[in-house]
This record gives sequence, structure tokens and C-alpha cells, in this order.
Amino acid sequence: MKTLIIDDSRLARNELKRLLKEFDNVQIVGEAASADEAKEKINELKPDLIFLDIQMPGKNGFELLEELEVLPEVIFSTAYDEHALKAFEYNALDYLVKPVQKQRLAGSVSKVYDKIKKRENEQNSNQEGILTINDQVFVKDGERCWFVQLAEIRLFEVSGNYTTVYFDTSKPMITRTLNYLESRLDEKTFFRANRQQIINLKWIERIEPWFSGSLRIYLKGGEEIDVSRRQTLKFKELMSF
Amino acid sequence: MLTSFLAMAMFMPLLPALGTNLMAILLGVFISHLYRGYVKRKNWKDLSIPKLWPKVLLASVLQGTLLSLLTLISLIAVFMLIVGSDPDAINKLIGIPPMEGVDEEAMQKLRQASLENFSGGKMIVFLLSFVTSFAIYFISWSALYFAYQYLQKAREMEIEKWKISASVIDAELSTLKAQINPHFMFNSLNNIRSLVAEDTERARDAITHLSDLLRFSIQFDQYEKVSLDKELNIVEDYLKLEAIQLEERLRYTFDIDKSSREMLIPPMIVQTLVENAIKHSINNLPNGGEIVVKAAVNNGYLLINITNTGQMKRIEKPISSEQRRGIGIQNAKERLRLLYGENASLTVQNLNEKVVCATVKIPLNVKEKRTS
Repeated sequence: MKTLIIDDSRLARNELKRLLKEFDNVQIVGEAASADEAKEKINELKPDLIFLDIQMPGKNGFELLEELEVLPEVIFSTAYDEHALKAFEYNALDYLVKPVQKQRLAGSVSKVYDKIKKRENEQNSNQEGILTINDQVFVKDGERCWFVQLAEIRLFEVSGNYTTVYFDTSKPMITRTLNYLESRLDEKTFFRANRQQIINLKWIERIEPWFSGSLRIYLKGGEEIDVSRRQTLKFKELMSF
Repeated sequence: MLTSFLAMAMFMPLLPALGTNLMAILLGVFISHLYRGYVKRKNWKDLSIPKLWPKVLLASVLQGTLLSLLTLISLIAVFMLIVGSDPDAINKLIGIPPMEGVDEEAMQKLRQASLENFSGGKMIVFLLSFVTSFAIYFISWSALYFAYQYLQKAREMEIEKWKISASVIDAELSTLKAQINPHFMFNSLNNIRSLVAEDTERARDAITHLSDLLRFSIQFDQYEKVSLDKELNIVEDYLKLEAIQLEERLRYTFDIDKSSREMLIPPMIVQTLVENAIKHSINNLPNGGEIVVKAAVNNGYLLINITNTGQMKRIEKPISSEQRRGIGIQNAKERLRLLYGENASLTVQNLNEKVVCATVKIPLNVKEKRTS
């Protein structure tokens, strides 16, 4: 696993590097002392895993995650910040407290390693830059945060300059536009039903014919989607073999 | 009042007696009102009881005399009025009812006798009794007034005491929470762990600094005083530890006037402000900043200035860390207030667009306002 260490303290980075030396499956490709530096290095080095300190000068760890397009696996590290970690109420979240205990570190690393291996087996024909259902996005809505696997998302919907993301029982908003998302999402799974909505085909419950040859799609979450006439043709094409 | 009324009613018709008496009551209220104003100005309620009672006694006699004189004047005025409107009334007033079978000469004698009744020694006795009765009235007024004031004062003291003990607990709690900032503690420990592998000597020093800091904050009671010198040693320990974490991002200098070194200050005051400067300014500046701690004696005050790079922001949304900043400074202010009253001050402000300055002003020789 290509790994990047992000922490504003040089000594803390060094300490983590020393600890990680013992893990054969971890290959440290770089380190960063601030969110901006980290963003650059992530885009450049494309790490599989980042160790991320939450409290940093300038932007903090969460702000960095919000800016990232492709999210690597994240293991948070913090000296003491109960409040920040409480933001993740719905996610099993990996975090380490500093000074880091070797056993906990081993646990976190092997968990991430399994996850990455599993993903690699599933997506052999991965196109460069396209997000698949196994990728995750970081979503922050006010004080709450989530790591969401794209497979869990049923629907993206335009709301003003933002996009509402429907998953589980939550509907937070992200700052990406729907057009941007469409260009990044795997079209085998995500379908642009109309100008306002992109749906996840795996979440379709049933489909009914609608007026003048268009379709209405019912999602498992209860949402009803009207597919535009133009997209109905595309949809039928996609569904036929 | 009732007695004076009865006294008057004895030799006056009902209505004038009632009127005069009403006048006396109004005069009494007026005089006691003036008296209350005087007592308030002179802060009699703060006097102890042995000091208070002779004053109250004297004041009451004086007021009694004054009221008696005024009442008497009004009484005479009423007399004159009655006599003026009905010359015959004097006879009625003197209180000899018309009698049958008594000739004019005998009547004259009777009148003469009853007039004599009103003069000389009897008149003085009459006056004295008036004065005494009014004085008693004023004494009881004072008793009620001061009893109420004492009660009020006791209640205020109770509340003040309760407030102080609450803020002591609060201060102690936030000492644990804010002054040994856990974030700082664990970061330091983590850095020391890293130093153990890289620079053993520095690691050993760092452990000493951390120990000194912990010892200081555990050892000193909120209301004890330490010398500025001692406090500054701790601040230096703290800054050395932060410098391990922040490295070249933290620069600091001390500019301490020699005469101020032995001055006594409440512990952790400078420490709190320096920590605040790091937590909210230097920590958030990617290129770091500078902290300057200055102390000097000026005009009977010890002045401590902590300037640092950065800007103080208005607290828009009070969340966790911002709240903590509030507590740290608020706590320090409260401690200064409890220890020195209004003579000490603590202000934090933007000096210019790049520098924040915190100033502590502590009086050198004042009677300390120390409770408990």
C-alpha cells in the first residue's frame, strides 16, 4: 500500500514512520506538514492510504478531505480531540491516538489492507479516474461527517449549486455539480435519469411505463424518478443485451 | 403618635386635633426621610452595633426634639387660627364647659386656674413628654430600619460567598481542563517518544520541562501567589515543549524588567495567556509567529504584556475550541477580580493588523480583597 503521512509535527511524522517500518505491506511514499501540501502530494502520488492528523495549522484534516476528489483510505491520528471524532456517528471510523500503540496500529493497518485487497479483486478493469461503487466519498454536512461507499448511494439530485446525496436515511449536500459527478461516475452503475438526477441502477426496485413513452423508476429508498424521454431511449439501450 | 393625639384631643376640639396630629405625622415621615438619606450617605449600616447605638440614640433625641418643636409651632399656628376666627373659642379650648349656677366671677377664676395649668413647670413636663414620645418613635423606626439593613447585608454576603466558592470550583475545574491542555500534553508525550530515538539529550530535557510544568500546575492553589520569576520559568518550560512540536514556527523572547521579577502574581496567569496565544494564533499560522513577553513596574502597577503574531477574531459561532478560549481568559479575569477587586485588569486586543496584545495590570501595594 502506498502510504502518505500527514502531520504538522516533524517528530510525530518520524515516529509514525519508525512504527510503520515493521509493516511489509506499507510503503511510505511521502509526508506532508499541512493540508495544502497534502492535497498536492495526494494528487501527485495517488496513495492508497493516508495517515491524517486532524488538527493542523491552516486547514484541518476534515477540510482537506472535503477538497479531495479521489479519497484514499484514511486513518486519522489525533493527540486528543473527542469533539472532532464525535462527528462520525454513523461510520465505523479508524483513528489512532498519539502516542500510537503498536497493536492498535497493526489492527488499523490490516483492516485497511484487507479492504484494499478486496477492492482490487473486484475491479480488474478499472478505468483511470473513474469512480466505481467500491470507492468512497467524504461527505460533511454541518457538524456531521460520513465516509460513504458509492454503492450505498441511491441518488444524486441537483439542489441549487449543490448536489444532494441520498444514502441510508441521510440526505447531506456536497459542493460538486451533477455534471461533474456524471463525468466521474461509472456509467455502468450510475445513470443520468434527467437533468436533475443521477440514479444508482443497483437500487432500482421497479420500473413503470409513464406518459408518452417515458419511464418512472421507483428506488428501494422510496424515491420516484421520472426519466426524461431522451434518457428513456438510452436507458432501454443500456438494459438490453 | 397616638399618645400625642390623645394629649391634644384632651384640650382641643376633635377636628383641629386630628389636623395637627396629621401634620405631626407628615413632619415625622419627612424628618425620618431626611435622616435615612443622611444615614445612607454616611454608610451607617456598615457600622458595628456598639458604634451604631449611641449615634442612633442621639439622632433619635435630636429628631424627637425637632419634631416636637415643629409640632408645637403648628399647634400654636392652629391655635392662632382658631382664635382668629372665633375669639370665644379660646374658652372652649381651655376646656371648661359652660356651667349653670356659676356666676361670671367664679367662671373667671376657674379660667384663670386652668390657664395657670398651662404655664411654667407643667409646660416643660408636657414638652419633655412630647420629645420623649417622638424620640421613642424615631428609635423604633431606626431599629426597624437597621434590622432590615443588617438582614439585607447578611443575605448579600451569603450570596457573594456562594458566588466566590462557585467560581473557585469553576476555576479549579477549568484549570484541569484548560491549563494542562490535554492536546498539548499528549502531543508533547508523542514528540518526546520520537525524540528518544533521535536525540536522547533533548528527550531528557523535554521530560524535565514537562515534569516542571505538571508539578507547578498541580502544586499551586488558585489563590496562592507566586513570584513572576517562578511563573516565567514555567512559561519557558512550556514554550520549550511547544517549540519541539512547532519547531521553527515558534519564536519567542522575554523582556523582563529586573524590578518586576520578585513581584507576586496569581499562578498560571501568564501561562494561560501564552498558551492562548499559541493555541489560537501561532498554531494556525503555517509560517508560525512570534511571542514577546514583557514585564515592568510602572506607577505602582505591575504590567505584563504578551504580544503575538495573529489576529483575534470575534467569536461568531462558539464551538469547542473557541469556547475554551473564552473560558481561559474569563477564568483569569475572574481570578484577578476576586484577588484584587477593581484594581487589576486583563485585556486582550488587536494591536494592529498583525499583532494581538494581552495586558495584565496588577496593583503592587493594595489591601487584598481576599475572602474565605
